[in-house]
Amino acid sequence: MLHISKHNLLSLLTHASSSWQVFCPSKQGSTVNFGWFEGTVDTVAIPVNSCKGAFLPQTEELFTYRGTPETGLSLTGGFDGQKPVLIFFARPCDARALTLLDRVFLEGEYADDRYRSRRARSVVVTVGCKSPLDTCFCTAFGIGPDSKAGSDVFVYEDETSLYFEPLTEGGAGFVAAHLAYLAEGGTPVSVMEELRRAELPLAGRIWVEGMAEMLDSMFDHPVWEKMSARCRGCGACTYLCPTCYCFSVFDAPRGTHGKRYRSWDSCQFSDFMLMAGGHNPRPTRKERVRQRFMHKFNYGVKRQGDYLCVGCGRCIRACSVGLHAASALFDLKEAGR
Amino acid sequence: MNDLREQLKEAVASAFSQGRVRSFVCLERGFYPFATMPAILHSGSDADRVEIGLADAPLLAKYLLDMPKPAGIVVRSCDALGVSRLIRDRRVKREDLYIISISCPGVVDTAKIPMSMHRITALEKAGDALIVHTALGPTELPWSSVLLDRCLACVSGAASTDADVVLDDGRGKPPAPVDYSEIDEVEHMAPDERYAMWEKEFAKCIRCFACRNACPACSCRKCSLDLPEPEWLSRAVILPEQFMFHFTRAYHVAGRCVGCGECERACPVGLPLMKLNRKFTRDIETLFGVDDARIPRDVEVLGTFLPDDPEEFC
Repeated sequence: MLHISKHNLLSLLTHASSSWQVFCPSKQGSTVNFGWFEGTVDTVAIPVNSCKGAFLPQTEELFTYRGTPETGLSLTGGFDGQKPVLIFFARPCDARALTLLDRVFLEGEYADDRYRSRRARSVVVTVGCKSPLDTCFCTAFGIGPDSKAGSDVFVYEDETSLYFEPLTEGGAGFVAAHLAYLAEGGTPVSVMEELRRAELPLAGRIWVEGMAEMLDSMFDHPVWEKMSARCRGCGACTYLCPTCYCFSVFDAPRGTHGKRYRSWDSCQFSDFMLMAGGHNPRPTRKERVRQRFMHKFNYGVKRQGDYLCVGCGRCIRACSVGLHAASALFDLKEAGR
Repeated sequence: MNDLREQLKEAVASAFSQGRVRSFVCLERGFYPFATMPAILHSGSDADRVEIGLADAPLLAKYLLDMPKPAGIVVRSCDALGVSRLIRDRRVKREDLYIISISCPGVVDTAKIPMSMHRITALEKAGDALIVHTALGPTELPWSSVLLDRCLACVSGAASTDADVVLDDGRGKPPAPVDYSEIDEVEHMAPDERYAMWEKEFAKCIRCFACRNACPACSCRKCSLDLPEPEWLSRAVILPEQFMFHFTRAYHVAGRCVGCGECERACPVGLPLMKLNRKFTRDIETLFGVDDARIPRDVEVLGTFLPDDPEEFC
């Protein structure tokens, strides 16, 4: 298998960044975050955020408009083909999550041009998870430390080297373009074995089989009141979730010109469903918390054919009051039995 | 510790049975072993759920806003300041509250325990150590190395909210000396360097509002930043808006911040928000000669005009 010494990784990424937009984890103050490559990479920690921002940026300008009744309206900006995106070191949960976002943004009647353009030429390089965190439970969703769904290249990491296994044509292209940095030889058998053995104790407490069907009849269950009582109503869980995709579009007018943006939005915010007339169909945290988990574990299954959760545990790490996908699945199971 | 918990359960149950409260906010067992989370009780029969909160205890004061009154609350000294803040900001009335104060040895931050939570069978405080029991035997960690950051600046004893019941097992943490050295460090940075630091930090902000929503001093019925009209803060997560948000937040709580650090604990991307808050707190102490500006008082330093106030801009 082709491999690279970890010492040479930065040179490879620096070279890659001339023809790719590299999205990778790096140390930012006290945390490790996914972001555009700026000369450093962290290959150890699992970042606090997901890599969805590479394809669905938190904020992006759609266009700038300018005009008066006399001059007429002109639009500038818009989306031009940028360098293809390289996700360097997704985790198996991240890669799988991208396939779920694809169903939302690429399939059906409303394919999203920008998402499609970024995603079409992207390469996702995923590293096997040798040390899952206390908060990891991907195996509850049929993913695992060595799952390859959604990846173009899979990487096995031992103490000194990274072994590259191309899985798709795009992945093979990426590897071929960096042969100068890679050496031939060896199969990381012990790493593969380690990945198979990696334990996720949390997954043993989580039960998802039949959850969607069970929730069909739980819309009015008192458990939502109990779960939401401690919710602080921030959007941390949704913004860090690799499968949450809601956004809103808004204008920033400045007299005779302005910009139109789109930005992530969160179903946990009080104004998410606020109507122009002042009516709010989800007036309290109970309705908002219910919406979040019903979307993940019921509506998503009906619309996209799968749970919209990959067990990455980011909401567990993000929530300051312990209200997250794992606790919800646990509480819902207790309530529904 | 168990004794204190038994006393607390009894006190909560009797608050309900005596008709003193309709609801009660406390901690209960969290999803993770040894972690705790907020619980809002509606009956004395739920009192068995009450936990002291040895580890990962969120602060509770802000839940009082939405609870049926009269409402009960269990506070440790940091949380007591939050309750006091809400009372002085006229968001809750003292007569609508039933306050049980407990002594607190500090709260463990499980993220600072260098081993898998799933392998731990028990956590125990013994003197100046945390003993972590696992199947492979116990490990001893220095108590101060595993505490939440807020406990390192504990206001113990300074809590000014009068409690209805005080439960003290004599094992409470002594107050920590106030240490502003990290503020000094920021102040001594060159302006460009300091700006670059904040730029880097704010660039990480995902604008989830966890800091605002956790803060007992951020208790407006409707936050101006949530208003669709006028749009003070746009949804665009771009650097100028990040500065706008963070300075608005910090200035809004200046003079009212109780130093509990719950904003920083709630921040999912680890912004050092207390550096801003504590800078204001120290400035207030220095400029107005106030002793420990975290403690809410009847005459608010920034809410009162006195003829001899410093007027540095004149």
